[in-house]
Amino acid sequence: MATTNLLKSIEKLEKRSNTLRNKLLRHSASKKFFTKSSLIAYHLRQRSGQILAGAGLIGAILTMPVPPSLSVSSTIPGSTQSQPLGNNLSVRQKLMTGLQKLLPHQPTKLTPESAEKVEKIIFENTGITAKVVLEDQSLNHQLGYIGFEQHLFRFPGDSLARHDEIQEAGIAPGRGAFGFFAKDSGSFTTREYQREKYYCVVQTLYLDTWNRDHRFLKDWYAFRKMIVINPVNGLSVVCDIGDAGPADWTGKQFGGSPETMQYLDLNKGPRKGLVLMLFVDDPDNKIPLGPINN
Amino acid sequence: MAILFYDHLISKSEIEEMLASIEEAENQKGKALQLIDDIIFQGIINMILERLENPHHHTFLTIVHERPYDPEIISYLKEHTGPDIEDEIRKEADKLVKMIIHDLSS
Repeated sequence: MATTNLLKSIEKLEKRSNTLRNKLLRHSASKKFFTKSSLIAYHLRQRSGQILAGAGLIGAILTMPVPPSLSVSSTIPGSTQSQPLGNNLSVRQKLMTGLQKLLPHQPTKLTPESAEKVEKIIFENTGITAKVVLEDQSLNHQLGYIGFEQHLFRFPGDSLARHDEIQEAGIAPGRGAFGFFAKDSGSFTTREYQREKYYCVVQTLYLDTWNRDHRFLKDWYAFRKMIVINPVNGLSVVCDIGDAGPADWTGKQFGGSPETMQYLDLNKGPRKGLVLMLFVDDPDNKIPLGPINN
Repeated sequence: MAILFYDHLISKSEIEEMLASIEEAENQKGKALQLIDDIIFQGIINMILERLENPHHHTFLTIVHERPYDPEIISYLKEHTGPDIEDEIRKEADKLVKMIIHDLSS
């Protein structure tokens, strides 16, 4: 290629770049980003390099998925109540420091040895008896990626407008895999309200014995109480199983209601993160659903 | 060069070899490479926005702006556009690379 040809080629490339930029600006959301100089490949690469180098992540990023980077906030996300900050940080910090050194940062089925240690840390810091195996049942993963789910219909005729929080999450088109939370609006109590508010999703469909024992398993898992802990920030929620999924191809193992995800501080960006999910052994139904604030 | 979330899906080696083989001031070659990088970026983002439903555009662009390297972006796209998004990015990148080679050759 002759010297003058490269200059001509650069002119052509500039024209092509402008054409593509104009195409991008037809998408209304991109106007905000593409009129700023920061959203061009060169600047993004610089930014990428700075962030990765600063966090020492370049090696890790090439070999494994990285959940959203979260900082420990000084307030509980989404909470409208004032909380004793010192107490919360104490529980959260204990969970974080205890669990972080034990847990691999990838979807995992815990070994009996790890399970025992994890259960002990949870009990000592929350007073909740959490179990990896309960009544001979165990999930395929105790550590896995959780995704942001939509609201669920709680009873026939329910609507998104009747959900009082995070309506922007939308509502799933059908009922959950375990049916409505209440058989009709007349029998919809605060218990069912809380069950939908703090529901979670686990992959019952991939259990080894699901096809053989699905009638028994469906009853056993329906609205089963679980504890979900975000080991990155120590935030934890007691939730109940309200639906089955997600599909394997999503790369996720669990799902969380909009409120559950908000409390775990996983409701921003990709709205996904690695969490610990264990059964709650609560035969007398003494442990309430919702965030663990002690 | 620091990574962008789709870098593992595209190959610019043919373009880079082409530019390396010519005798030209390095700053001009650098300018061309920057433009090429940006054309591929804009082309891929445009293709993704066309496949992604409007309500997800802002979230997607925010993540790209804040964490351009993050492999979770691909997971997010798989969830919201379908499991074949990586193939779509590869195809779009191949198309862009061919156009760029045409611009450089003509």
